[in-house]
Amino acid sequence: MIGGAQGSGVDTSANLFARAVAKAGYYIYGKREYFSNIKGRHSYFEMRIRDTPVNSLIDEKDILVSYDAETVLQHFYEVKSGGMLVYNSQEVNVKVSEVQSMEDGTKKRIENILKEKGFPLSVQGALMFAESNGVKLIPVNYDEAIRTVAKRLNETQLSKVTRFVNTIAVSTSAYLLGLDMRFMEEAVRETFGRKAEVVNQNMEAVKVGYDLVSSFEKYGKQLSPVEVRGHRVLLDGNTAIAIGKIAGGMRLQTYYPITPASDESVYIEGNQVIDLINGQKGGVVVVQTEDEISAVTMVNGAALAGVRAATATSGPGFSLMVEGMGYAGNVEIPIVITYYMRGGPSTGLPTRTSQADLLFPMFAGHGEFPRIVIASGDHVEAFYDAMKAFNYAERYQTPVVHLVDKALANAFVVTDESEFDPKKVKIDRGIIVDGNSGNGYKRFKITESGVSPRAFLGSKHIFWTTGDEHDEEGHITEDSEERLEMYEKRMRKLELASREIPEKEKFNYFGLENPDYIIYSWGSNKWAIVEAINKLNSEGYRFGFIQVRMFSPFPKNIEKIIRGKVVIDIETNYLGQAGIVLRQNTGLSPDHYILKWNGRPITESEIYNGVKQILEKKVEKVVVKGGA
Amino acid sequence: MALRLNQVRVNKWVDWCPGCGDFGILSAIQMAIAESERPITDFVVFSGIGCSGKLPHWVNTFGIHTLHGRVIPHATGAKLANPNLEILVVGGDGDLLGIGAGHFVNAGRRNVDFTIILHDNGVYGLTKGQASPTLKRGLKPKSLPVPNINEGINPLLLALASGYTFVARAYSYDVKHLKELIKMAMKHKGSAFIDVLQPCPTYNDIHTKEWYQERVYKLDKDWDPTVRAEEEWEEKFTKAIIKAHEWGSRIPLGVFYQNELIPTYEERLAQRMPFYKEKPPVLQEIMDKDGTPITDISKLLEARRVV
Repeated sequence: MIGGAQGSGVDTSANLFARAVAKAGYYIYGKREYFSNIKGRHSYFEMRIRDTPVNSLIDEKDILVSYDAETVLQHFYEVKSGGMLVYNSQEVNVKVSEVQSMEDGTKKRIENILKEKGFPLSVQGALMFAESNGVKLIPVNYDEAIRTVAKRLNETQLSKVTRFVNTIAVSTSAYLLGLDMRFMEEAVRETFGRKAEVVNQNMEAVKVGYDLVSSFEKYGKQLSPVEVRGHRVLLDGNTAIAIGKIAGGMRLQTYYPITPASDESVYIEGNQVIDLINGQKGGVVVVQTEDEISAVTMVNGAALAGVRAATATSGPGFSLMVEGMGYAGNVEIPIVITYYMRGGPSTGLPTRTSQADLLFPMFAGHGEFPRIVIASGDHVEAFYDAMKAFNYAERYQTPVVHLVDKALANAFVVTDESEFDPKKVKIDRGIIVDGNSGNGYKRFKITESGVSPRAFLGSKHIFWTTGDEHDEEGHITEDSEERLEMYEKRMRKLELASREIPEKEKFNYFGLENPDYIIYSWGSNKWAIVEAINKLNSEGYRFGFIQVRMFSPFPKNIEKIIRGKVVIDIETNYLGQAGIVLRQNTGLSPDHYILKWNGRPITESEIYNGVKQILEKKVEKVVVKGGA
Repeated sequence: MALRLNQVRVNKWVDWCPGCGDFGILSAIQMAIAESERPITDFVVFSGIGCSGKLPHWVNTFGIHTLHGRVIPHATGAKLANPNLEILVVGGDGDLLGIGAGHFVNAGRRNVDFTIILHDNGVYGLTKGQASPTLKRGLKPKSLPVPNINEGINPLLLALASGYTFVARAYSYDVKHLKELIKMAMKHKGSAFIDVLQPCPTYNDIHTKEWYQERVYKLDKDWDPTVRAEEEWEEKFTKAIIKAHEWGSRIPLGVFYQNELIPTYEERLAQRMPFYKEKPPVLQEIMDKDGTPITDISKLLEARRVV
């Protein structure tokens, strides 16, 4: 874990370190936590490194690298016994009360932790606390280190060199973890390759970092090089989804800036000219709209013209999209809304994760209309879901909401490039009317399946649409019989989707067949749960895990699997919303809950410990609250 | 070849109140389309909600009757996906300047090549005559219980300030003049806006046919609203703003301002994607015959490669 003030280069140095570790042959899963702030507030990266693929986090940290007082104060208690804590030896006397960027509530919480053990309310106290936990302290004089870098670069102005403090800091941990310096060098070259001078400067910073801690004994676990087969990529969730949408044939995307969704659209706009396998070029129109109402309704218009179109937003933006989505539901427009869930209500925790927005898109909109709601559990799944969302939308001519936790949007992963293969998903544009004569075409023809052949604006087949109830041609009708038929026709599409979409696309099952206990969950909790139940099963328990990937239509087979089992619902919300959907669809309720709603993702450790509490003490609900 | 008017009409009863100004706008649109020499399937008429919202149902081409206030973004999405469409947007004064004001202003920033026609009658008809954003302060049409407490917006000034590149005003009972303006607006490269003054015989007993007829006049041949070179812009834009203020005993009709020097949004997209005009989103292939995606993401992944 590395932390520092926002805007001070924490992102860049974490990226540098991750690249270097990846080059040594390791898989990485990392999370990024930040405030709704541009500069000055505390942000941090946490990463888990393994020689096998990894997709979740644990509570106990091996190494905490810091160069400011706040990072020590925010995280000292998270470092495990035997772990290491690198800190700035010039800032040990900083008191908790003196750190301006820290919120009052946080100061009080930290002071209470220190008070309880009788330690001073300062960095010194935090270090004493860590040491008493068996953490090895690594003091580093960063001021001196910066002077050394300046001297080696013949730079007289120290202020020009201070920005390398991040590189120095991550290099100390690279040394302590036994990472060969050549990997850091390659990473520096890749990151700053275009500017030879910056490469040179950062390399000096790397060397100084390695030297600074060379007198300390290295960490117990070492990152010696591991063989790599094939290529690996470093991606966050926003980017995986963006690439999935492009691969799936999306050619128009709209958005209004909002955290944590806009990164996706900005990425697409930056890469809007795309290659096709026939050597030709394609392009994605990206429109930054005046608001989210415009974003969703522009997608409606584009999809009517016949293009695969989508928008991306988070809670407050989706609130504005509701009426536009209802229109798409009524006039049967295939639209895709990628919905990044952050903490609500209202502005809530705009930069923190949440799963409190499941019920909202499930029921959003006045009146009744079919909608498909899917949720992804990891980067690879999100990539394919982003592609498939358009298939669902076009086949059933209705809105699709793709739910993604902020934790997944901003989590970055180093994984095998071959995992992202667009050929695995066939494109299905649904039923489109053919023939050259538009005579007698009825856009909303009543059919047994509920699906009416679709035509596009500008084709031979003239049609009308209206948000009013309409007849088969698309003209307004208030006739009681026509209303009934058209209403049923629309709703039948949901039953069709329920029948046609394979159950394996609707949910994943992990763990033992015929288990005693079932974990029921969704979204980015996926791998933390898989790892936790593997551990529990290796201890002799019998656990299975249902990860719901489609909430509407709800998978039919879940009922059979959970009937008669003890069900533990794990979600990062207060109400256990997926549990409510389970009850709605099966009449069965979870027996226990592990819930978290402090805005931080749930970890493998929290799940393991939570389940243990349930098994041993039979508590109905465990609330977990880890993470700074 | 021009179409016959009955080819442009839909054979359904038009359920507006007798004497409604909307009839003139409907006729003018049908005539403009018929005389356009383009296939009927090139056109899409988009509308919002209210009396004007029903208009597309009576034109025999694609008709997209959308939500209250949201007609402009619906039309924008369709146009950017398929710039070959000829798009007409119709909306009431409440629709475009009240609930949809944000979209109206921001459309000016984009200059998408379409035509927006404002049904400007000062009242919300379908909800029984409340004051609309264009009704002046202190006026009390018979449907209001008390005089209007808000100032009225001048649609022409708002359009000019927002960046519309064709700004005109018409009167719905002068169908021929309106039709000519619609044809000019359709030919115009960029966002065209026509403010159509129209009586609401049911709820607005102030702005009646008689009231308009003794006030409206056409800008004469000496009036040249067209910016043909950048250095002309300041003078012509200023003149348009002054002219747009004229109201009361004399109300000018015609084109107030036109400027085709501003690139359209489509042209701006083509600067980024040179193939945009020939291969807009709707004409791009995304899969081969068996549905396999043909987008090549290898460069995108390569850019993220760490080992």
